[in-house]
Amino acid sequence: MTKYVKMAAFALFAMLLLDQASAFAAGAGDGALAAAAAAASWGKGLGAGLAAGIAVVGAGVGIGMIGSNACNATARQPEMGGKIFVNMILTAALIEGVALFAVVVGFLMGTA
Amino acid sequence: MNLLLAASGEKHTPLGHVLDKSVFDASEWLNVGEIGSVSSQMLTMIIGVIILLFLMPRVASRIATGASSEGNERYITKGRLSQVVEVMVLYLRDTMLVPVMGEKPTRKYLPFLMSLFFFILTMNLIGLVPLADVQNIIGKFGWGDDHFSVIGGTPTSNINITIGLALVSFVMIQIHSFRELGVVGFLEHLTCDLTKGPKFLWLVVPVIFVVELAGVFIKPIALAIRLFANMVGGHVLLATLLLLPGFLPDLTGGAQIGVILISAIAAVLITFLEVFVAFLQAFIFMFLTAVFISLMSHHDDHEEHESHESHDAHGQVSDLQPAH
Repeated sequence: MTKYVKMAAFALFAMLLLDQASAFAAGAGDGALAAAAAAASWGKGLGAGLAAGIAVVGAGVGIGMIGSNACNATARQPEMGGKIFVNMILTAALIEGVALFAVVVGFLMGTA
Repeated sequence: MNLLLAASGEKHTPLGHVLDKSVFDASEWLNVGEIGSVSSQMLTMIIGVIILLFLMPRVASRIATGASSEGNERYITKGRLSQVVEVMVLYLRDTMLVPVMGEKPTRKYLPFLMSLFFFILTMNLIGLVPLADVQNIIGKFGWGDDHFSVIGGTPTSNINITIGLALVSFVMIQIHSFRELGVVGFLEHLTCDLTKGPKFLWLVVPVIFVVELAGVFIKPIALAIRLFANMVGGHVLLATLLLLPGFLPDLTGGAQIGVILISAIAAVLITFLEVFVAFLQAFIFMFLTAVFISLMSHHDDHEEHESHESHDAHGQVSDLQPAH
């Protein structure tokens, strides 16, 4: 049973490697349009900047709290420093991912 | 979309350096991705896969325990790449995956998770090698076209490729959950066992069910977007720093040296950060897939985890002692 599961997963993996389904299928057809609407769309850039900027504030505060608590915990018990450091890096990467979701939303707002 | 126009324009924009470029126009018979034909990031991915296909079986055959005719020599791993890979795999398995998933699921899913990890790691690291810029230089001095590049770019900075990886993770998570819990048990698991509690909690069950069902689909998409955004963000930052001297006016004297120097030093330091982010994001993708797989197991499996808390691979006691 596990052999067929592995074969199915590998076949799916290979198919996805060879045929990437377009995530922006609607946008590919518009690639030849001139940028006629560029003049009246200053709001898009403003929205994109605000989206990315305000989200990064939250991420900064969050990762700062993680760092400070990790330093406190390591100062209390230095022999646990390695495990605390690994947990800190992991959690910081997850929170940074959330801030980057907002940056991606900013990209989409700014150019589409 | 305007993104594509920015890439093909005359100006070098930071975003233009990150986007896909078409290599040759095959869109009559092959319609893939945003570009609609074979793109340079796709070719880079194929090259990365070929590198992995040649390296990894050799590494694995050296790590594996050999025939018993060699005596005790068979346990030694020879070769530098094999030793690096062995250290990485052992560390990830013993200190990251076994505490999360338990012994048996780790052994079952370790090939899949390690394939995911090394694939994403190779894709991320290939993006840091300046293949496209070398080809730009060759093109500029060879025939005057400084946009020439066939291979180059980070494959994982393409949302299509990361969504594909997330789809593979999603399929594996669902396979595990349907095998462990069954279809009915899977739906019960989505209610977080609220139906077994006091009767007044039954009002919350629809809300919890909808949220958990959405979470089943959103979590792999978040994996894809996290990897994609980290890779794109890093390369856009690098391109922005390196394009800063392009905004200098034509001053005489050495006034431009300062900007160029600072731009170069900052680019080197940011590249170090990018190498770290490459490893970290590959690890995060694999680790979160493992966590999502383990969330879909039976909860009575957690009793087995208690026996692993008393010692880990380094022999240190892992439950915290009160400070004396």
